Amino acid sequence: MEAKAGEIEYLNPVSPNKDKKLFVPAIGDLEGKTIGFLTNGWTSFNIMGEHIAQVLKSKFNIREMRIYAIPTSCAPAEGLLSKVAEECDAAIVGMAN
Amino acid sequence: MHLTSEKLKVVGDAAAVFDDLYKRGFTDGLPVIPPTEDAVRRMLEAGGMEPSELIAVLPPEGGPATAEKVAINAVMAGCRPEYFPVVVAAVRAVADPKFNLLGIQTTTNPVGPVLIINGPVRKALDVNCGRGCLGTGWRANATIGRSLRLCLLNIGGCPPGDVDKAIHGMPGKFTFCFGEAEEDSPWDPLHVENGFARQQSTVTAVAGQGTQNIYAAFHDPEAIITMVADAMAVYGNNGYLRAQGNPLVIFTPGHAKIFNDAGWSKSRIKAELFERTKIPRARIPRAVQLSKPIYLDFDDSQSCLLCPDEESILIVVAGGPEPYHVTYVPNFGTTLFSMAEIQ
Repeated sequence: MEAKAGEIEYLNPVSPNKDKKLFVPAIGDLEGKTIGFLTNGWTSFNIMGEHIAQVLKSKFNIREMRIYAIPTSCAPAEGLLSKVAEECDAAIVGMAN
Repeated sequence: MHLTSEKLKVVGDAAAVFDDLYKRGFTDGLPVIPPTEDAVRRMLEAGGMEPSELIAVLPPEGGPATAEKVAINAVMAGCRPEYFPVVVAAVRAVADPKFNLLGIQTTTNPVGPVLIINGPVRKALDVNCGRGCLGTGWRANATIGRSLRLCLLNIGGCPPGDVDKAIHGMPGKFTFCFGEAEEDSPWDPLHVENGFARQQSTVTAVAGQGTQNIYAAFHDPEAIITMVADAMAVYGNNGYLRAQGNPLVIFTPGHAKIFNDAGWSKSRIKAELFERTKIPRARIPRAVQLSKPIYLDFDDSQSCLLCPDEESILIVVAGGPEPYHVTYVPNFGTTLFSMAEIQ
């Protein structure tokens, strides 16, 4: 429908990524699961990771937490995320700072 | 020419369009030109591009930078249609994986893309390469850089605060675009240094953290280089964290002449700067840092590097002619400069 008098019509500048998958199935019960911990090396995040690992083991009885190193300020190496998805049931990622 | 973008409407004038776009979070805070269909078509026609042509995919959201979407943002920024090929090249340059746009878009660092234009396009579009080239007053400089910022916001999906986590940001995130004063330089310009013919036009994207002015008003090259190197040797700059990146030094034509008359090539300047910006580990505090810099476990006598090697330092000539002020643009570090030809 054309713009009426006194109206200005303009084009939306945003270009959304329509291929983006926003949701993945919930992991459900954590017992016996392998949880990945992707750390970019920030001291504060590693301290959090140690605490998270303790809680996940003692309270939720996970099988193990596997640590993966990712770069501080750029995307992880190609293939790493696929490897994590193969080896783990879920992952906790620390990005940026 | 079929445009597919959603049409939005407001009642009122151009100011009402700005209000609407601002409320939606689609601007940089400054007034914009309404991206009407006619204006976007003119932009696309000037670039000779079909609306659906995919120029790049921009992080962090992975938004497709089609010609239509880039043109919309270029109109908003105030670009003339003839600037569009430069904007397209700039988008291509920053989307090169080696530039690490994902990191640059989302970091707490103030970094933003710095665009350097080379070749005949500078004169054709009146890109300022001389006095005030990093400042205000030239439409090409102001709007080409601004177009890129709007593309990064609206196509990359990077609103400041929510996704762009820059703690302070920096004014260059509005726009940071200038031309190299090739005609006033005794050296090969940046694009020729990197394999392009002088008659090709290019845009280079460098990830810059801001500007540092250095008042090196000497006529002695040794004194100039000493002062510039001392100003660059700041271990709080990201380059030292991982000895990565491309520090950028902008000399005036006057400084370039002093160096050249004394027989100093660009290569020699780069070598001197690389050597003189080494910082002994002993100077950097050993208190625990939140991140893990590469030099963390160096012994006191080991040198911390601004960048991996002397060739990583970029030198261009621009600005007013006087050999007074040098501008240093510290680099984000985890990035490499990227060049794209302007078609």
